[in-house]
Amino acid sequence: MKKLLTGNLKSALLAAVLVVLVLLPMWAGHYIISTCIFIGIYGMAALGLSVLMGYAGQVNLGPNTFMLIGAYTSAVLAVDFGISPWAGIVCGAILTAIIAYLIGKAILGLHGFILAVATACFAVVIFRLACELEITRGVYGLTSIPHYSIGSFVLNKEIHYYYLVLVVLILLAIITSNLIKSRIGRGFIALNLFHGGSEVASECVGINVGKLKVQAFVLSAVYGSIGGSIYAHYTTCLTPQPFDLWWGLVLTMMCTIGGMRSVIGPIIGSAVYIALKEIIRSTQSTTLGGFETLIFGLLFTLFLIFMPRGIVELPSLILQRFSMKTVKK
Amino acid sequence: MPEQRKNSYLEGKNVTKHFGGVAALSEVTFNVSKGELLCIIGPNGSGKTTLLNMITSVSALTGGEIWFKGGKLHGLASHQICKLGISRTFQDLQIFNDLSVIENLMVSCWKEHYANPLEIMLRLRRARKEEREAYARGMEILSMFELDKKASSMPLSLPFRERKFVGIARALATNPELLLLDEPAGGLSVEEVKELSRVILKLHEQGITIIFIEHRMEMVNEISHRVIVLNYGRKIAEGSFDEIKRNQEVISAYLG
Repeated sequence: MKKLLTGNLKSALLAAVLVVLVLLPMWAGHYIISTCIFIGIYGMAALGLSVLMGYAGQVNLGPNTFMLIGAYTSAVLAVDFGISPWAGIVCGAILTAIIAYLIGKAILGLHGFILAVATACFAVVIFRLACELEITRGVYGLTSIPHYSIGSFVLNKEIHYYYLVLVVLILLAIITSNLIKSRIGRGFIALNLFHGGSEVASECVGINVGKLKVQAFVLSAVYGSIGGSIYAHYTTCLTPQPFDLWWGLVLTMMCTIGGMRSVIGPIIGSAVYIALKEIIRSTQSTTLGGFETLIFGLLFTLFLIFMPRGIVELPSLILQRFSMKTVKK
Repeated sequence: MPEQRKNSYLEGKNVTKHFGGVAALSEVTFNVSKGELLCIIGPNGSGKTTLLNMITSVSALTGGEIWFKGGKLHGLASHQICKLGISRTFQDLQIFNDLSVIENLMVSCWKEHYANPLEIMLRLRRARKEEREAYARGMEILSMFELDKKASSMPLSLPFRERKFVGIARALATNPELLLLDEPAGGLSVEEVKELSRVILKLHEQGITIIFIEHRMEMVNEISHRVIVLNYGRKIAEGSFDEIKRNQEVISAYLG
């Protein structure tokens, strides 16, 4: 009964949040909508990272690399070859999947710290390539990237991108939710060494651990790629800077802050990070402005110490505290 | 020799495993017939678990060969060996602690899946059917161990005896024809060992060939058809429990 109530409460809460999100553009201004778009875009990549790190237990310190690949593939195809941005999302996702498959095959035999270093090195290589290659226009970047369009209708307003991002994010969240409740999701958890899993036992119950790890890596990469593609066509100009190693850590931070063992957690983490970033940016002229990295570094450390399972854990922590108080009384 | 392999069920020839300079197993040769209940005994460090690890390819052979129903096992990955119908438990259980009891069993129905990742992501009909079947199979196995009421419990909340049974149930969920049990009675009380013996005999009656490692001699005596004794990685005796308990080498090395 308690479970049923909790389930119903969760569903009602989720429905309420969805209604608010759908109606938000009615009263929110340009600035809020734009912030929400970035929350959604980074939320996609963070969601992918949660599948890889939170569920399958594989560390990736350069998840934004796949955002970069998706963004540049889609943008270059649109700018240089006149290919539709919609097709660009698909091409970006396919190219990212191929690269992630090859890299995953090569590095996912590694574990823990060494795997983290390998993924960071890979991120640095791809970032440097984006800075140096002619096709990406180096550090000057690509400009005049076209918007998405449906026939003659061009998605060139904030509100268009808001709903596009909302729909894609909801779809990705549903897909992720289905996946983690399936044998593949259970397989991810079974091999997760950080959460009571065992690769040896997983293999002995018939799971092809190597293949499953690569699947998690590819899936995570494709989520990032989709986010990257939308980012490119929304901003209409693209430089490598938003995809450097710091932003890889930011995505990890988003997952950790929100809770990487949940579907909603990484999206909450993305919202918290982007909202805080905007607050700090708005105080640029005051003392806070220059300490953005420091504040986030500190915040990240505090979350790791006091709330390692993220904000999604907060309701159960409060309930626990409340029930302890009741028992004491 | 190939003819002999055709007739044999599980056969190991000169199975050898070295860890650096240490010989964990030295040229152990064994044969297991279909439907047998074989026990492996020996002092700690004699190579019993290493032998199970060799059969299930948890670690690679240094030398020798292992054949199952005429096909090579050596060189295959553990998940491929599971798909051939060989499943195992672990001395340290290795239950997936972040999955509930029923999920531990459902994840072990892996080899019988048919829905592809796309069907799973979109939760299409075949994916839902696969889930229902895995759940039903898991519950059926759990009811054998009277654990069906604890299906949604987390393994760490269960007493040790029940976690042991979850380990066996998880191995059974892979639908094995050869089951390897690594010290199933370890840490159990006398009553619990009797219950375990009944479970093992029941599984054997269902046609599952069983190899188990054990130190509890009353259990070995009660249920095993044949016993292999290892000492310092070498096979020192083989036969019925009555035969090996009279073997002088076994008495001095192990039974004391």
